[in-house]
Amino acid sequence: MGSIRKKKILLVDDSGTALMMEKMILSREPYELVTAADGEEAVEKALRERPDLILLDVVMPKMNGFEVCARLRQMDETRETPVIMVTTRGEAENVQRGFELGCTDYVTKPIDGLELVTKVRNCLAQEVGSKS
Amino acid sequence: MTLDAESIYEQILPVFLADTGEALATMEQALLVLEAEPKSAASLDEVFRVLHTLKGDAGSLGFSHMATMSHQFEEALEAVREQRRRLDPEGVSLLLRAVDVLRQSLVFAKLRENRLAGESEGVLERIKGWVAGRSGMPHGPESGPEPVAEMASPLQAERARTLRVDTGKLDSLLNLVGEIAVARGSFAERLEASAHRGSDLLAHHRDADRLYGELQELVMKLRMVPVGPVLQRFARLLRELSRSLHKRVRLVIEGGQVELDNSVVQLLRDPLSHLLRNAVVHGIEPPEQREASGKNPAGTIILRTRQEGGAIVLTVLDDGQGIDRERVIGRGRELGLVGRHAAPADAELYPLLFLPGFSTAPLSDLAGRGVGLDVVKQSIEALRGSVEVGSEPGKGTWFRIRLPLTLAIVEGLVVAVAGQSYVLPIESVIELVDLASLRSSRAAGVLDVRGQILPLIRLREVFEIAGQRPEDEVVAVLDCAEGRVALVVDRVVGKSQVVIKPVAKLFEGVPAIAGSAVLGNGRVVLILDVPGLLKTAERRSLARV
Repeated sequence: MGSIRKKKILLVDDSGTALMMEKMILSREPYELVTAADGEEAVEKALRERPDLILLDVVMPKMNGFEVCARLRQMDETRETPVIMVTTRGEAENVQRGFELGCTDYVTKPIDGLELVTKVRNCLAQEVGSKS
Repeated sequence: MTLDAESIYEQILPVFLADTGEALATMEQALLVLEAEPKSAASLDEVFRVLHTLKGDAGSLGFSHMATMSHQFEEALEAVREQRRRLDPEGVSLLLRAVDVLRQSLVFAKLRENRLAGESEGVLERIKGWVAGRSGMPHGPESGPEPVAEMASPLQAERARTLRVDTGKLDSLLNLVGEIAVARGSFAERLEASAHRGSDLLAHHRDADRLYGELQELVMKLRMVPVGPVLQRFARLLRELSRSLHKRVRLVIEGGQVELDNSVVQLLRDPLSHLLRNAVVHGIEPPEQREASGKNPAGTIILRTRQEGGAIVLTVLDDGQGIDRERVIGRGRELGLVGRHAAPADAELYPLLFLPGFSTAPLSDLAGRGVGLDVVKQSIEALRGSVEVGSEPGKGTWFRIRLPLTLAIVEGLVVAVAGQSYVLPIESVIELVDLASLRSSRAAGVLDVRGQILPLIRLREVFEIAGQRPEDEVVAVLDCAEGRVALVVDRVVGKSQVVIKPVAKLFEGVPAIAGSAVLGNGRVVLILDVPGLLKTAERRSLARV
C-alpha cells in the first residue's frame, strides 16, 4: 500500500497568492498537497501530516522559516524530511543560512514552475533512496 | 513548464487583490504606530514582513512596478532599522503616500496591467531622497506641528485565513435557516400530536433538531465581525486632520474585539467619523492652549466599544475644552428653544445640539458642536439606537451611542402571558420574585421590592390581553440604563437561546418591542424592549395620578 501512496507535500507560506501559485504548479503532478499559513502551523502539520517533502517560505509571522527548519531538524519525526526553502531573489545570505540549518534545496520567488517541479522530483527521489 | 497566463489570473488574481488590500491596511496601521512609538520593533517587523510578501507576490504575478515600489519602501525601512534615518513625520507621510499609490495601483492589477497609479514616480523619487537624507523641507523639532496618532489596541499581528463572502448570500442563508426553524417547529408539533406512544420518531427528530439549532447559531455568527479593524482606520483620518489644524491628537481604541453584525459596523462608519472630526475640530485645543491650562499638549480621543446588557455602547470621549454652555444657551434663545430667563440643566440643554439647523453657518462660531449632529442622530436612530452627549467645561466631551443587538443570538428568558411566549434579554433580568410575596402599594403603579420602589407594569396590560390572571403571577425585575422596572407575567418558561431578527414593519413604533426572535423550537416570539417597558410603565403611573 505504501508504494502506491501519493507523495504528500506540505506547502508553507503566509501569502495566499504564493500558496495558490505553488498549488497550481504542483497539482499537475500526482501529489497530495497540504498547506500551512505560518511557522507554528507548519511545525504542527509537519508532525500531524508527516509529509514527504516541505516547501518552506522564509519570512512568516509567529515563527519564520529558519526557526521552523531548526525545529524540524530537532524532532525525530521530521529530522529526515527534505525541506525546500523558498526565498526571494537577491537574498543570498538566506540561502546560505538555510543550508546551514539543514535545508535540502532552495527555490527563489518569483517561482519558476519548471525549476520547482524539477527540484521537488529530485528531493522526493533522494528521500526514497535514503530510506531504502 | 510554465503556467498559462489565463489560469494564473483567473484563480490567483482575486487572492492577490484581497490579500494585498488587507496587507496595505496592516501597513498603514503599523506606520501610524511607528510614528507614535518609533521604538516599536514589532510594528517595524510587521511592515517588513508584509512588504516582503507583497514584493514577492507582485513579482510573481508580473506586476514589476508594484514590486519596485515595495522594494523602495523596504529600503526606507531598512534605513530606519539601521538607524541611518529617523522615522519623522515627513517620512511617515511619504510612506503613507506609497501605501496609497500601491492601493490605487490595485485597480490596474485587477485589469491585469503592470503599472502604478498617478504620482508614483514622484513618490518613488521622494522616498529615495528621504533615505539619502535629502528632505523636501527643513526638519527639526520646531519646524512644524508634530502630529501624533497612535493606537493603544494591539495590531492584528497575524492574518486569519479568511474567505470573502457576499453578505447578500449570508442574508439568504440566514433567511433560509429561519424558515427551516419554523418548518421544523411545526413538524415537531405534528409528530407530537400523531406519534404512537413509545414511538422513537419524535426522539430522532429532536436529535436532528439539535443539529439544526447549531447550524442556525453558526450562521448567525458568520455575520458578526469585530469592530476593531473598522475603527482603526480612523487613526489615519485623525492624523491628517490634526496635522492640518496644527493640533496633536492621540486616538485610543478600546474594546476592538467586541463583535457586531457586519451591516451595523458599516453603517456606523459615517456617524463615528463625524463625531471624531468634531472632537478634533471643536474639542481638542491647540497644543499651546492645552499646555497653558496645564494639560498634556497632545489631546486624547478614546473610542470605546462595550457590550452592556443587551446593547452595544460606543463612546467617543475627548479631553478637550468641552462644550461652551453659554453659546448653546445663546443659540437656543435665538431659536426660541430656551426661555429668556431659563437656566436649563445639561440634560435639557445638550439634546438641542442634535436638532436640525441648530448650528450656525460659520461652524467655528459655535465653540461646542452642532455641525451635522442631526444627521448623526438620524443615522443612529435608523439603527434603532440612541445617542447622548455630555460635557464638562475644560475637561472634555463625550458622545455615547447605544445600539440594540439588532441581529444576534442572545441568551433570553422566556416568559408567558395567556399561553403566548415573550423573550426578555437575560442580561436585563435582575431577579424573579413571586408577586404574592410583595403586597405593597400596587394600586399606585409602583411596587416595593425589598425597599426599592419600582414602577410596575403588567405585560397583559401592555398588549391589552384579556382573560383571567393566574393566582401565582411572577415579577421580573428588569434593569436598563434608564432605570429599573418591575414586570408582571403569568409564568416563567425558562432560558433559551434566541436569534434576534430586526423588528417586523408591523411592530415598528410599538415601544415595548425590540424585535422578533426564533426560539429553539422554531416558534417565532417577540423580544421585549426593557427601556420601552420602563417608559410605558412611567407613562401609565403618571396617568393614574
